[in-house]
Amino acid sequence: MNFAQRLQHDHAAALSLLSDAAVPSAARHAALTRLTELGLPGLRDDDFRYANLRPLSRASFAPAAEPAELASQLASLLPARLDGYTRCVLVNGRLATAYSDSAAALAAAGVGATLNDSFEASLPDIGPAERFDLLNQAFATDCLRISSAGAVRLEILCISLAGATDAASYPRLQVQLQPGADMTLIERHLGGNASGITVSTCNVQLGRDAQLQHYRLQDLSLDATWLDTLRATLDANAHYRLSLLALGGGAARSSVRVRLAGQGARLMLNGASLADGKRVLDTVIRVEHEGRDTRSDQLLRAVANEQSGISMTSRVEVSAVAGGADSRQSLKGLITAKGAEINLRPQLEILTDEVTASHGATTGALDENMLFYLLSRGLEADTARKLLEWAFIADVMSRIELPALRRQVEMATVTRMGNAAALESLL
Amino acid sequence: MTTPLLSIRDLRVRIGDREVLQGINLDVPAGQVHAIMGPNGSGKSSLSHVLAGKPGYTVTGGTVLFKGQDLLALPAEERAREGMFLGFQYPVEIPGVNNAYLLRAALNAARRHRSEPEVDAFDFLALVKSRMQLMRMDEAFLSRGVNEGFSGGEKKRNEILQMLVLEPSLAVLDETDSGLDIDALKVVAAGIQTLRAPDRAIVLVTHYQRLLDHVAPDQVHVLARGRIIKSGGPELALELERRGYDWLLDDAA
Repeated sequence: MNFAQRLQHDHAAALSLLSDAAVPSAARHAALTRLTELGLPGLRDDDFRYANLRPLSRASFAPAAEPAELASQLASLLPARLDGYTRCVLVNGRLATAYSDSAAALAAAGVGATLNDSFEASLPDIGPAERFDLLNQAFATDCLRISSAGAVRLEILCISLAGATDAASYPRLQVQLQPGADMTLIERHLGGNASGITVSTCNVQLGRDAQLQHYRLQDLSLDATWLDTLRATLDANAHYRLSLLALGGGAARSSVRVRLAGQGARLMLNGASLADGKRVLDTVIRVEHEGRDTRSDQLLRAVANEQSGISMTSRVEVSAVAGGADSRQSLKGLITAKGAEINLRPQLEILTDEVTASHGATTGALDENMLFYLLSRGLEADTARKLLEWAFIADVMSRIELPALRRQVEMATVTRMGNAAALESLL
Repeated sequence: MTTPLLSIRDLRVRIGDREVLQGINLDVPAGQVHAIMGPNGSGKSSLSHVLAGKPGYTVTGGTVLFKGQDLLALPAEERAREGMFLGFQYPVEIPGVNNAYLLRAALNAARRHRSEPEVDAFDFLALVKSRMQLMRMDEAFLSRGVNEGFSGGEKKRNEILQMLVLEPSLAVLDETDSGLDIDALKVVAAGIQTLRAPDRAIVLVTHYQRLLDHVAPDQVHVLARGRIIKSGGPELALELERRGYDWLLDDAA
């Protein structure tokens, strides 16, 4: 069966799992049709030039059933609780009430709310680069809708667990911040030895003057495939601080598209990708300046070890009516082994004169002078190298403002880096 | 006579096609301070780098014994743990690596090597703070990245601070005095003096007499064109200050 046939087949077979409450069936069919038209990205498709989509050629798109034996696998995956944060756990794309806070606590954090009609219409378009959002729409088994007008601190854990078969999971989040709302949202995609596909979608709308601090951490297992889409729209003077940390997955692709629609809207995006083995981590970001005096700052760092590949594309578009826009992009890559590869692509399209923009991208090996300095102080060669890798992404880490979370993320990072014992005293 | 702490015999070194050290002979006994002076490009920094194990230099001949063992056979990190310290002429900035972390990791690497227990965070902090006082450094430096945003003088003080915490048996200080104002020079000199001990040796690589006014050397050597062309007592440094190097270079030629 080709891609289109498999989509149709798996969708028809899964119908009983696909509720209208998650995504209305008309929307599911429209998504399926559009995805069939677009097809799987080919080798010459520039939006996916560096992504590893091979797992899709044989994957089953059928949503995973809820694994019967949750407790034993889950226990080791759930991070320690963060003080003051409401916790919500999705297992294979479904709300797992047994591991989440009480329904009342979730409701107080705005989980399960009804979103305003404006929500869907305000989001950035789904372009060819964001096409896997269509896959999520077609197959999502649940949809977590969050709406808040006040101050909320929420942690969402999207856990992918291995079932009997390598089925797919479809976490789907929709976040709407009312004018003036203030939210910290921690979104983690974690998995044990699950080797299936996780197709995640997160849609965000920030009302006027709303503030969202959004941490996204992907730490799936080595053979997992992650296809992720984040679309966000910012109204006037909204402020979106977004951290993207990709540590896991065998083949991970994240498509991020942010519309700075209202005057004075602002995006601060910090991202780090760290890969070893043969992982392929691909991030494609598109920021659209539409309102006047909008601002975007991007700080992106990549460290590729062994035979891994990391790519980061960051495209900024400033429309003709977005005078006073200010855009900064800093992309840096560190390659630590001969077989590793990094591709950084900052792109800028400006249709107005009245704009401040800067961008830079550099990729290199470890600085030999820094390495010699550390060795001359007696550090083990391996520790010294790891320390410099760590230092390379320290900028991004230091911008995690929540100390308890920063520590968890740092621990996850040094664990991925290996030699955790030598680096632990860093933290 | 006891074995010198450092013994260099006919050391020949190339960078690419250029022979930068052309047969160095030098003995530095424990308990002594030796100064190595010489004009620009004479090979002073090359000698420091080769002793510390910096890559990029090819040793084509000769031997270097440190505490009686073949120094050149050891990788840079093992030389350090054996008690060899290089004070850099241009200390590198490493943003993201914490100054205190590096110091503690360095100290514990050496202690493990000597089969001594590691220092805990509390004792370490007490040790570092006492040494920082000596170097008149603000404690805020501890929480910053290694040399990150330090002025030239602060970087040099930081080198001496590291030396005082690590207490090496041999310190080679490569132009530690360059770029220092008079007050900083005094502080750095006092730091170096603190380390003088019967079981240690210090090699000062310098252009100028002025550091030697504060740290009196036992021996002074003149390095020129990759060779030591003259050795003498402290009076040699004074003569060099007065007469420059030309008279020696003419003699040697």
